[in-house]
Amino acid sequence: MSHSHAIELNQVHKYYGEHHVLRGIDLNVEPGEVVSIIGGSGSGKSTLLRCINFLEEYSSGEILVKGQVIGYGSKPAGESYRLPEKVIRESLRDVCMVFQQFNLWPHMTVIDNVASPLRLVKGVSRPLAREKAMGQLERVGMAHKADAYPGQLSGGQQQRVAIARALTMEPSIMLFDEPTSALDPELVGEVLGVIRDLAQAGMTMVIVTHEMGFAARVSDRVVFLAEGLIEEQGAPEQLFQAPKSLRLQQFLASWNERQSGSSLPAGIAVAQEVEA
Amino acid sequence: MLDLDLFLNYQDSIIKGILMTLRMSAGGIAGAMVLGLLLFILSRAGGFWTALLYRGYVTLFRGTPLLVQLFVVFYGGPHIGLEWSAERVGLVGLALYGAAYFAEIFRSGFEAVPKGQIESARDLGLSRSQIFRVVLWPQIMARSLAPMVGQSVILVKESSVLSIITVAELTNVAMTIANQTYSMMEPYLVLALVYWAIAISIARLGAVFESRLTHYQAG
Amino acid sequence: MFDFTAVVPYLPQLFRGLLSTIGVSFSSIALGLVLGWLICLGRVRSGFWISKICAVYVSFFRGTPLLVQLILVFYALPSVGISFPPVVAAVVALTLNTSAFQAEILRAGFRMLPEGQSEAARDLGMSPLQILLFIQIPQVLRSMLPALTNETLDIIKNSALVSAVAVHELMRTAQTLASTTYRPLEFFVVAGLLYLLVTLLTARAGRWLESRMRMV
Repeated sequence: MSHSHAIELNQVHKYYGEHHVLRGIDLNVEPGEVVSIIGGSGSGKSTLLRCINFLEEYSSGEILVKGQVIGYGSKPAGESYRLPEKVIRESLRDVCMVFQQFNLWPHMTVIDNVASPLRLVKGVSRPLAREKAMGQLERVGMAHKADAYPGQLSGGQQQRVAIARALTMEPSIMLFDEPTSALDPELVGEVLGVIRDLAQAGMTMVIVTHEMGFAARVSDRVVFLAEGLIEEQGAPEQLFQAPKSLRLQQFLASWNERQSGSSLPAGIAVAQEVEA
Repeated sequence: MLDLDLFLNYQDSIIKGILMTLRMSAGGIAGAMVLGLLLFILSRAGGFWTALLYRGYVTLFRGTPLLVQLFVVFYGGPHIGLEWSAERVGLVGLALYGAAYFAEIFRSGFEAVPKGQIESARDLGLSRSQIFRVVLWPQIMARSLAPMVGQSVILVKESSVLSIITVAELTNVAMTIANQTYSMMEPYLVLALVYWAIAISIARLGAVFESRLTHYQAG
Repeated sequence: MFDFTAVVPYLPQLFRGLLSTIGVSFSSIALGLVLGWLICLGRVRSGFWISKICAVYVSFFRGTPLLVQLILVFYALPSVGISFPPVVAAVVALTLNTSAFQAEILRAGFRMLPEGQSEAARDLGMSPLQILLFIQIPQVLRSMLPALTNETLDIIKNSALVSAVAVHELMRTAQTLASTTYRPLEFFVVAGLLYLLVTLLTARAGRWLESRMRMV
């Protein structure tokens, strides 16, 4: 039996009209691996993530999840066609995404937010769905707010509920699209803590993030994206302390500057944070 | 097939009907705007009784059907010595009715202006009337224009109700033609099309004005 | 001069008229909501032609007077062989009218929905129908409740026009009584007060629903 990657991207391109956002991405993610994607705004990192769970249609190339092509089928003659929505969602059952803006449903209580997808998608009975939902809410430390509405929660709490909602679907792969970018600085920690626990539990994860220190601590591999291409990738120590490409050096330098207000050499500042 | 010849025979009364509809609508809208503005100013004057008067007026005229308001004056009026012609009742009725809506439009336009602007104008030494004329009024107008156009379209349509109190406007003329010729489809279809055309024209015209008046607003 | 005691013996009759007004108005509102949803979805979710047809429908029924629409249903349709009993005809006309207004209200509500909420639902595996039913419709109804309440008030008031085409609702009853008793002022004032009562109560009910459904 051939070994299959958790996620496999082969020469993935994405156009928005004339705009060439992804210019041929090759990337494999292994089961249990935690991969962080970093890069400047407009580098295509969010688009890449959204192509994996087919919230965006990729224009050419191939994305496979557990060996199965996502989104497109091919006719005997060779030309590809878009699969029906139902088939696509079925093939992505194992993949769940956590969004920058949480995207909780404001008209449902926390427990309903978490339990109703399970009922609607998997046909789980109401009591069982609630039980499972409560379990995941406990895991992210939000069980005490089960009957609150999303509007009554802080951003960090909402994001933890959103993570619980995704976990309840029992995915084996989780995608995080800048999960802390919309949060006040003092709320970032609680969300990162939950994600770190997931990493330790062996979840396969792809995380688009601006938190370099966090990416360094939690990832097995960091991927640097620039202008729709993978510019450099590797283990976090290697990537942050000995960046090879000029672009990555510049990116890390400007990031350090924003963080500390000083301009230390890139490697040093991140190294300090890795140890912290 | 639709028999459109019958319109030729009634050319004169149709034209009179259209003119009457336009006269009633235009007069009603103009009266409603002026009266609505006065009501709005009254509501800003402060004081318990003016506030109560304003609330009462708006509630009464927006809470009851125009037809009832017209009937009270048209059929009830003579019993208290108010013998107005149908046209007069129609014109006054439309104006009184529309004024309640226009007043509320001005009021919400006013409430949308950030209060900081008034404070800074006062701080700069502008008088009350200057603040109103220079700072508030242009903004109220810009915000109110779209709903005012909408309300004007509503009043044109409501003017059809005047047919019931025997004003010889368009709807009334169409009913007369239908009764005399026994053709029910043609007069009423054309009637609907004429109103539709008027409504669309007003909306278009309003859109042009609006883009001129609101050019300073972002977005 | 005024003698409202003259109205008292006829109050039961007026109340029957009032009930008929309420019945006609609210059934039109309910049916109009269903039809309004279909038209709204036709405009935002369908192909070019269906969307265009729905747009013309909305423009026509919003751009012509309700009285003219009532006349068309009552007098013009029978001349081509489509006729209803008066009450049904009244409900048909009011429903056609309000569905156009409600479709526009709902469409505005759709435009206000954040895209991300549907994306999250899609990501979790919900079908388009489930997203519509459980995520989008409940929120559109909640956020548009004030506008829908106003539309209900308009229909209650506009239903008075049904009197012009022979349904014995409140206005018609008041007219009949006014002319048989020669007391138009009293009867029309009382009719006005009854309308006011219903519209105020409906507005109150709308606000109550709003506060209950508020998403904190």
